Amino acid sequence: MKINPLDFVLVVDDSASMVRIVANIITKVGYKNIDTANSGNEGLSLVRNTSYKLILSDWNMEPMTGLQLLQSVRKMQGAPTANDVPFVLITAESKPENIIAAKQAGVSGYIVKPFTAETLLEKIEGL
Amino acid sequence: MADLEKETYSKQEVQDLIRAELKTVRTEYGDLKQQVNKLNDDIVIQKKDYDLLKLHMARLADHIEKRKMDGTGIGCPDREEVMREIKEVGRYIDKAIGAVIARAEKMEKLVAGYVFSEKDRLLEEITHIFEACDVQDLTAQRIKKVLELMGDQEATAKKEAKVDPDSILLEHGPQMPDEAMSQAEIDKMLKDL
Repeated sequence: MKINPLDFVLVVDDSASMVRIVANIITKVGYKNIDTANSGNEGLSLVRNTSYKLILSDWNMEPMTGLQLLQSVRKMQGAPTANDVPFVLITAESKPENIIAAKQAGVSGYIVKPFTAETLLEKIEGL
Repeated sequence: MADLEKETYSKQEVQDLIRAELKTVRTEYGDLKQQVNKLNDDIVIQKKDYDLLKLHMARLADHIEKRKMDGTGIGCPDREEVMREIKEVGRYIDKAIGAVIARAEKMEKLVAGYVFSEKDRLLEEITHIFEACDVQDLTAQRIKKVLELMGDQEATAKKEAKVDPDSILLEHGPQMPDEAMSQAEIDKMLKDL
């Protein structure tokens, strides 16, 4: 994926620390327009109003999980964000059934926590 | 022996009747006084046993009550206290990591404003501080898992409030290090699917 610093990126995680960590790391590859959401519902609401070129989301959130956010994004019609936007799940869930479910939902990348800045940047560049 | 069918008895006859009855009792039960004392001892022993049993029953009832409160059957007598302590640990970690991230962000901004030979190395070190701060998220997830297992109402309510209840089946939280798939294994699996 060619990184355009002006692209809008959405980071979704119910952990305020994780949002700051991920946002901080992606600024290192030049992203300047980073929006953050603390829940799946908030993320979905942002996606319906802004044209994001990349979404990085946690899985384990309530009441809407990251997987459900992904499924909702993929079904979206007519929203500013394209329904095929690169969507990366960053999660502690690392069972094969999770990988399968994520793949079936149309995930673009899957990063298991704990992760390094290098892994995150490598995955974004490889999208 | 005096005639028991008679309607009236002389004093002597009554004394004879009593002696005869006492003789029968002694023959059958031995010395009455001894028997009464023995019976009394038995009652005392039984009372001790009864008191001890009562104590054990009370303790057992207490354990059962505590286990009933603990819906999962985890035998933890101070469950509520344990959950409070766990939550407090989570809050401390949250606060500490929040402070570390804030300081790291400040350091990063400070460093960014200067030009010096070791700048890139220092920025890289700050990035490692950020990476290490994911301990807050992973610890919080493990704490959540423990609280759910212990039947914490807040944790259970959050779980039940899921948009899609079936999604709970896919939420395991962080795996134990020796059970978790590595990033390389996940990448391979994603590619193969």
